[in-house]
Amino acid sequence: MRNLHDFEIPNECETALCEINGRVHYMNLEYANISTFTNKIENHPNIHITRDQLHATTSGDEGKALFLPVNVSFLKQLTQVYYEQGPVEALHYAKSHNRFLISQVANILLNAVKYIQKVRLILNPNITCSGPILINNLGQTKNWHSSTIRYISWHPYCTKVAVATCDDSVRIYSSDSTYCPLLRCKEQRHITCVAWRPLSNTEIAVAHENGIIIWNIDPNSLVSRPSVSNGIILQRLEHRPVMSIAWSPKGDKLVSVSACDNTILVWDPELNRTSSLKRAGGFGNTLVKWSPTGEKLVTCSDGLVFRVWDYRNWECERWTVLSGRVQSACWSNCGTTLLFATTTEPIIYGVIVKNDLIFASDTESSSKQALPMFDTSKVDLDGITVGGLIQVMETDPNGKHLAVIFQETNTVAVFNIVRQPDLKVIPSALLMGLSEEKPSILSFQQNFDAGACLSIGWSNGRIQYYPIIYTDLSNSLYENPPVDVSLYKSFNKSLF
Amino acid sequence: MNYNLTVPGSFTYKDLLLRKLSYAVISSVLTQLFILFIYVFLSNIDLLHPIQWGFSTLRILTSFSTWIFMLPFLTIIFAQSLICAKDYVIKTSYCSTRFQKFLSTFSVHNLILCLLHVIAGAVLIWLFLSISGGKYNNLTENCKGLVYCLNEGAFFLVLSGFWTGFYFFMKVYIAEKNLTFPVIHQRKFLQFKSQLGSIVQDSITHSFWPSIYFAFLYYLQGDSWVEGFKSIFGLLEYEVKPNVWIYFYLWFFNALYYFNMNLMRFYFNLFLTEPVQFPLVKDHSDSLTLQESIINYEWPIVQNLACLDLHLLAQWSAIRRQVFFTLSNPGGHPHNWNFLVENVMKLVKEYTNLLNKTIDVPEQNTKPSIIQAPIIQSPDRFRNLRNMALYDQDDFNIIEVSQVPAVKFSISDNLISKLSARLSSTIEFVKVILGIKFLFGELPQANVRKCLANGHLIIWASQGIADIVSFSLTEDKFGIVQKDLPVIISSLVNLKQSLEKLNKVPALTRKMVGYDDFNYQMKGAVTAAVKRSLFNICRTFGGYLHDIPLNKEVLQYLRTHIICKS
Repeated sequence: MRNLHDFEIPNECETALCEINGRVHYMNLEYANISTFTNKIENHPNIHITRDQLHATTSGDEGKALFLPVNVSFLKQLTQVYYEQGPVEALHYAKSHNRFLISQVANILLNAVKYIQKVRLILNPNITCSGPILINNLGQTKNWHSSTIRYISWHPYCTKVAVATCDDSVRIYSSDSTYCPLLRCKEQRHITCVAWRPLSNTEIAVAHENGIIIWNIDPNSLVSRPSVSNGIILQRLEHRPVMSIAWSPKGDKLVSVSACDNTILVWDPELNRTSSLKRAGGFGNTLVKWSPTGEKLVTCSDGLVFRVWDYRNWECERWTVLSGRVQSACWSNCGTTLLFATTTEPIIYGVIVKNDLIFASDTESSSKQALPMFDTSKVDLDGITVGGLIQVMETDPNGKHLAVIFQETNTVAVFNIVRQPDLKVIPSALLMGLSEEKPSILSFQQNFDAGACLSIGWSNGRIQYYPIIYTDLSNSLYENPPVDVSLYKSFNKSLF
Repeated sequence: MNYNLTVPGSFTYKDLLLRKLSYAVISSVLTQLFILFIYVFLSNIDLLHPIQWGFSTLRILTSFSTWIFMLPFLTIIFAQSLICAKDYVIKTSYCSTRFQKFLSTFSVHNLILCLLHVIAGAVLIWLFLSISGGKYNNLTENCKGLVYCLNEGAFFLVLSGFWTGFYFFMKVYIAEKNLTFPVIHQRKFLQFKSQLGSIVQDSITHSFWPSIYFAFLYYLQGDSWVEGFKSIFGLLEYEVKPNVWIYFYLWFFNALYYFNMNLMRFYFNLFLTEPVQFPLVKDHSDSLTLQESIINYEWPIVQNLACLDLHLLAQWSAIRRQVFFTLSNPGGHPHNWNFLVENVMKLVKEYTNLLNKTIDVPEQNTKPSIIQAPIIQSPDRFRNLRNMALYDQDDFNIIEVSQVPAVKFSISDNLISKLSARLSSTIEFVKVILGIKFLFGELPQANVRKCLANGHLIIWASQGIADIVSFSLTEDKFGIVQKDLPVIISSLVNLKQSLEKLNKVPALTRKMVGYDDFNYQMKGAVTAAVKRSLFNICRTFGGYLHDIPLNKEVLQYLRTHIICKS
């Protein structure tokens, strides 16, 4: 098995800037200027979200500090506590009351609540942790809690990127205008995932701790803070915190998974209806990803099991890992290969998912095994520590490149994926940030014609682009261009 | 089984519906039996003597009397589901006035169903009580020697059955008869498994209030009912009075009834909404085809299933899509495609017209010319030529001046119009006062509701046709689809424009109805689906859009509202 020693080591203080026709170009970190090599990304928005650009997050308690406490009657106080902090806090307050009957009744009710909670805990241990802790532990983003950038999502058809930040807002940058809408509302707290809706230019779904909000941003209006009233708010009581969401390729269904609920929900967003996919294994799910062809869907639970679903009949293929859980997974090779990494082994695995009839049964066939593709154990390359357990990995839309962020080390590894004769992962470049910068999340641009464009969100709020460009790109839509058969002229000539 | 690979045989709509409905009816009846067995098994619980427990259960279940008891119950359930079945498949008539609504509620059909619901409620409780044994297993008890006394507990519970049946029919069955298609179509057993929990929970919570109501009613009127019953059958008072636990029994049996009925509804939903593959080519004159069924307004469920099938095949089945892109063998005509596009456009146009009619937009007389007339600029050299053809028309413009019409005395006209106006306003006034308007006047937005209730048809049909059209770019070798592109795009744009007008209907705004209103949500869903379909077509044909002969307004609309690029 190949390992990280195969990577070419950049010179001191240099980092990989871009790859053109298979050749990686390096430059000094301080003077890095990508336009020396290519102008393909010169229109891309320059994003650096500094601390002073962040909005203060409100917890709702700020106003309280301004007022002096006053003595109000017990009933009034109880009502206030109930409305502000919920029924359990109200019971706690009632318990401290000096009248014996009230405090006893409250005590009994509290005990009942405690026992119900205990039973629920036995059924699902995940609910002990609060939402942010679960997201931090199970999510894709590295150091989710402290990172400025929490998620990056590229628009499927235009050069437009949505960046979720730690101030519970989503900023949308686009290449053709300086207009940068900010999506922010009271309900949207602790963002975990953002997904643009396919077959639509304006809609974007934001998954947060308590549910999903689908925003509708009218590009013809210049309102910088679109209102949530045009959007759709989706939530279910048990289904939280929502860890990951994925749109169906036709944009009509949305799949969501959550850490405290092992049911996978498939939403019809407009009608606010759900169908649930429920199978045994795990207490919750951490990741859902649709294959590029749209025929399959992978979901990873927080236990040993991960599943590959067939989109036509919603039957699943069950896979188990030996220990830990699947930390990250991505599709490659036109949706026939699944690459994944677990929380216990520093290895990239590959699974070849067969088409169609394999989904006839729910059982796992023993002949199939995941193939270890690449060993990413921690190594020391000329003073730079690289590798370790994998935090997140992504493939580009064509399935030719793979980018990986590690849990403990701060380099981003970029690989090439070779399909012929067997599937192979070949080291390409190591990317490093400035000092003190840690990579948080990465994402590939969806419509980059010149090749692939990786974007890395660093912990300090900077987004770096790493374009991989082929100048001799002969990507024709048709292998055999149609002959003059069309009614209309332009159909007869290829546009490419 | 991958159902996209199987070749569907031909069938008529009767075969299809009968098959689906019979499955639903049979599973309802079988489940009732199963629930009864479970109940008997649990009520005979004896943990210390498990073998005895098993045997006693078996003895009860195999005894002749049990089956005699069960027979009427199963017959009622069978009859009930048979009659309900009709409700699910026939065309629902939309009542545009309150009076119509009122009449339709008191139809013979509904009265029979109501009666069946009521009887089923009582029989269910009586059956469960008498088979399982226990304190309330009989209405009468042998007391004081050879005299029969009334067991009030049993009487109370059986009476509650009548009430719950009635309540359920009024509250749930009449209000919620429509079928809901699930978001994804899983195997039936999995759907059952995932729904079972919520059905149980629903039944328990929803049966709480009717139980309370009944307990209250019985508290008020119970004595007179008991006296009446006793005097009819000559029964005596029983000394043993039911204790507080009877209320839990009441709730339990009511929940059980709700559960049974909900399960029946669930089965109908499950079997009727299961996707069907329609044949795309006609086999013989009776058999259904997909193209025909799309506009089969007589059988809404068949129409819905056909649209769903179109949506699914457009997305998944390249083999079935190919059928539309082939030419007929003698003749070389794209019959399959023509038939499909004709019917889908008919569906879309009818929907658009219905929408326009309801939003009170005067119907456009001049249909937008689909094919843009070529702009021919006359060459400069013909500038000085007179157009001789036009001169002849001047002859007809001569005005006759010799006979000036005499001024007529028009007071009578005036008077009549004034009188009629006054009369009509008086009639209006009388109508309002007498409540005639209330009863017979058109309900506000009844048509819009009717439109939106059929929303799924448009959601599936528009996405289906858009998918087929976008796949045609690579799969349609003969360019069959291209000739209909302008029509498809224009009708979808027209539909989208009509849908946008719905935003102005006050009864459909979020402020009026809130997020949870079905009509509000459906409006959003249909609009979004049509928008996605147009986007899909525009995206696929993006580079060729300028070459498709579209009306300027349509093109402009696509640019600003769908592609959203200036």
